[in-house]
Amino acid sequence: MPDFFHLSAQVPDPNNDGWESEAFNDTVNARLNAFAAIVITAKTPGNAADIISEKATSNALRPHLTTAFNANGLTVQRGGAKSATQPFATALTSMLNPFKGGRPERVKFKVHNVMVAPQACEAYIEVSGAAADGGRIEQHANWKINWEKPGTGSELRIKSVAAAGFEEVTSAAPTIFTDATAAVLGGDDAFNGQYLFGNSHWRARIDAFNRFFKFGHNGIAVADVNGDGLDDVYSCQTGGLPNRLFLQQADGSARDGAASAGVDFLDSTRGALFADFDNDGDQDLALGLNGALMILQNDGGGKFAPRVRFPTVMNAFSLAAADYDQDGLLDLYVCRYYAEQEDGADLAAPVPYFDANNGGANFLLHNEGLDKASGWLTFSDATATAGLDVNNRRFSFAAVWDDFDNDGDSDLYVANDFGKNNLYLNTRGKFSDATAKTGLEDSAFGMSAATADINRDGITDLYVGNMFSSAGNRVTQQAQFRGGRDATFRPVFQRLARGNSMFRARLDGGQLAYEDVSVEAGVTLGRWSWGSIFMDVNNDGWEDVFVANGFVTGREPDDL
Amino acid sequence: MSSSPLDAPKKQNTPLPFQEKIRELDRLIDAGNSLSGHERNCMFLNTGSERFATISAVAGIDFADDGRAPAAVDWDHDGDLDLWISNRTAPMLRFLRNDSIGDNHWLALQLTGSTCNRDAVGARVTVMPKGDAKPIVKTLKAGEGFLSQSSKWLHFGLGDTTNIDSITIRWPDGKEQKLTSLATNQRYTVVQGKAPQRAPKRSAKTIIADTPSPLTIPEQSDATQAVLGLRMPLPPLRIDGVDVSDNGATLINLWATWCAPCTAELKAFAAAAPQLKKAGVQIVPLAMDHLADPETTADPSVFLRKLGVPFPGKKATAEVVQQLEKATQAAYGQRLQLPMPASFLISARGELAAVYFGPVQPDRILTDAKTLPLDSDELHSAALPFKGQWFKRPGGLNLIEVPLALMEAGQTDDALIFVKRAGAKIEQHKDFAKLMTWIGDELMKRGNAAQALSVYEQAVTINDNDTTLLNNLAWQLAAHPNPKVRDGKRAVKWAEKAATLTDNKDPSILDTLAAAYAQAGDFKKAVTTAQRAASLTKRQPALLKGIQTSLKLYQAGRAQP
Repeated sequence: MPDFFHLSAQVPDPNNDGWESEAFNDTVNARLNAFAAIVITAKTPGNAADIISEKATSNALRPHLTTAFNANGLTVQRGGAKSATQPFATALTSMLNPFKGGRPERVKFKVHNVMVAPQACEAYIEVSGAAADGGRIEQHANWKINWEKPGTGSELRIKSVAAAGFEEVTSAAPTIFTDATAAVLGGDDAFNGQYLFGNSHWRARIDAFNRFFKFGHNGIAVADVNGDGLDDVYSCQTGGLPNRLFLQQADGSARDGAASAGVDFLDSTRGALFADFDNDGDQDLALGLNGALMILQNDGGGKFAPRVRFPTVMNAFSLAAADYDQDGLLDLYVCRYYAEQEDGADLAAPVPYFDANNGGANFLLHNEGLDKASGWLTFSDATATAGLDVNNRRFSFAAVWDDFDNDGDSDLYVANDFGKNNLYLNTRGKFSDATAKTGLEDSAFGMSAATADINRDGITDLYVGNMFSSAGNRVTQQAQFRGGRDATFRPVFQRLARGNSMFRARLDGGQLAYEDVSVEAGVTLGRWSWGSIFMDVNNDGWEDVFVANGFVTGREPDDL
Repeated sequence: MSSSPLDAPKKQNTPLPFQEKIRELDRLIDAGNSLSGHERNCMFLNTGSERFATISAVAGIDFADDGRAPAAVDWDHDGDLDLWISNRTAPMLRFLRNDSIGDNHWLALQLTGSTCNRDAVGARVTVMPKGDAKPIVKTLKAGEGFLSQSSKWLHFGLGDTTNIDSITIRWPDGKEQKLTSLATNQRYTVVQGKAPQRAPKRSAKTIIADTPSPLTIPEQSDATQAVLGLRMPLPPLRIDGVDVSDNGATLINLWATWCAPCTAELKAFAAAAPQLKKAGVQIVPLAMDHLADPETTADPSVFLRKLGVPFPGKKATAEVVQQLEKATQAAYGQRLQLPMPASFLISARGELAAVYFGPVQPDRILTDAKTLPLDSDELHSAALPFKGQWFKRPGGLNLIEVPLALMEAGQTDDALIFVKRAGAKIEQHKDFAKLMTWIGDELMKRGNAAQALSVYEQAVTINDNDTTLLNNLAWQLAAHPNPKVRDGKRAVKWAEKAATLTDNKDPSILDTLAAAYAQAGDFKKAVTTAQRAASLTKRQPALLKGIQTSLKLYQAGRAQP
């Protein structure tokens, strides 16, 4: 039996592993890619008889639209009630009509379910391109496609399509965001020499013994480092490449000043965090170096001196600060992923991978204030005394501090790979694990955690970056899939591959409870998600979401 | 084939099937495959009623980067949130400017604590826009998402509201503060307990306000062209029975007669041969034709002569190619197919010093040859593309696999040469002493006792608390059938060490110590030690019998026969 999602190394050739459905998926994908190419290039794609049956039918692919959002040139419309059956070609032309010349620029299918007999599949379709009036359009829908073979030996053709969940977004402007990287950093030698090349390029040039890691977990931290009123950005790099501190100039551009600031570390670094740990008005820096967790003190002018080193807190991932015991000093939570004997050169080995607790221990470092003699920062390990050594060996990628239960102090949520996450509620500096009680286990591949009030009811909601896996969705829906030996595992595995999660909070009579609204909210499809954050993109007072995603893009085009 | 002492009872965790699959995935990634690659970043627009719309494309953020850590900040102070995103792929940082579609209003606050932490992390701010019943609530955070930290400025979008009913700050120490009469579309700094102040406007117009030039990403290559920061020892690379690195530094060039870039490169090498020779680098082209196609009629000698290049037409052996491939994989962790041509700079000490996948210019080799005299930290720094500081300079190659493989293949001499070349790079390995014991045992079997003993001694010098090693070494020195191998003084030294480590309680070690004393001529000590050994051997009749036989010898003033 192949493993679920991409974990099956056999996926490259499912013909050989007894998974007829996965072999069929490969066929279907090839046909859908060919169909997508026709939609982009052909004037009347509906006539492509070698992929679409002449008699192909569908419901309306762009059904009666209802406007869900319309402000400042941005319009969201969603498909309405059921529509009449019509020729597929007609429905397709009408769907593509809003695009300039009736032709979009990009068409992408993600096949998330396949049925071998009769031959059918379900796929998410994304279509985007320029609008006739100069703006841009994107469309999303879920298509159930029935396939046919006109004769033995001939290729599959689309027989009929049943579309659902149509959503169309139009923007009057060409885009909301503009890539201005060249304007900000194009004049910086460090950026041009180092950042215009990716991890795979450098991997061929920097020996592995430098702790050069292939996964490219390059953290960033934004803060005003030198007190000039302009935010700067610190960028972490893997071993052998120096971390950079891009200092914002008066004209908005940025220049690397890592060496003179004393923070040009070549050690593999994943997480960095700026905070005024000594309350002296400047931003100190915590760094998750391969060999130690280090805290550096800022001299007020943006020069840093190492003060605290925790050599046992190696290979840190995300860092998050809060004053959990309200003593006026910021404390630091350190996420760790790999177990002590692993440094992260390879994928982790969780056991069992749907509920693993054999990763690296996380740490809560308590700020002890300045040492009187030296004036240096001091920290102590408060993980156990604060009660955070519970379920503390999960594969933790990220954490966020917020007041989840609205009682005035900082609680902690930790996103873990390979299983359950953790919500630790704070009561006067002591934590209790309230994950199961509040419904926030989110058993999946947790990559990131962010909080905001999505519905403006004054209570903190939560967004967790996970993995959406087409393959995982497909495989776990097959009768053949058993999820190990026990059929009851099926929903567990299906949940693992669902994608990102959104939890809406309710405080009923002081009792905190979360409801999983991910699917209804339409925010699961973040792909292989990493950093997923809230930001109000259009200044309308409602929190939007940005998701950075994609795991490893290699030189070979085919995905595993 | 001989069996490895490392096979001795060792607790081995059998990997679970899915762990094996994970390792297989690692190898596929190392071979350049994609795993959920080419994925486009996503953006979800909050359309109210707890629903979101996918706007990745119209937002212009759907780059197919391997995205990692996003951070939101109003970088240019124009009243909307811009994005910094770190990536695995090029560019490893992107700045996306928010173009503020429409004319929604906003407010930005920077909080400074007085009686709470100065960054005011944990503060919660509630903004009530006029004419809107729903509050906008934000918590000031330090770190969220994944490996990322956004700006500490709290940015409030206000929609079409130009008036704010109220702003309440709940500071991290629980104190509340109400702000009144703040104008929208402004940046304010708020010190706890004090009236808010307008932040100074930035002086210059930002250059990024204009239409920015597109970012040009140069061509990427995962083909290695690099000097190793820590040279990788190699076993002897033999062509026609000669170790190619015996005559100074060597550039091994793998080529084939059908490969046009190879012949162009060989011509360039030939033209630069005098300079290369002056730099101490000999060029050794090794033809690969017959390895790819055993039936080939191509003759590299004839081919090179016709080409007019003065190199001998040597043929590569599978062993040499494999050793070079393995060493490159160990150095860089990749498992890429060997391209044609490929060149390897080998130091005079037989260590891999540089790797060139694809054609390389002679100038590059001349430059890299200048690093040959360097070692350790100097070489490490010279090999890295950029300057920087180390908190903890890494070291340590895991080299034990190479000599173990050689021992498995019965190549004891090559294993020994490898160990010499590796020097300190391998001596610290936990299994080093065991490897040396294995090598010593093989040499002993061959009758090369003197060399075997020096190998054992090297092993116990590195690992001087392994009593099995000590006992074995001392016994050989005290009782080897060849009298020339025996050395009573050295035998006593190692046997005493072993006896001390076992508190004089191990009869087998005491038996060895007695033999050592006898060999050194101290029969009195030999007798008392053997008697003590015998007294501890009540339940081991075979050992007791041997000790009693020896005891008689010592009492008669004789050493082991």
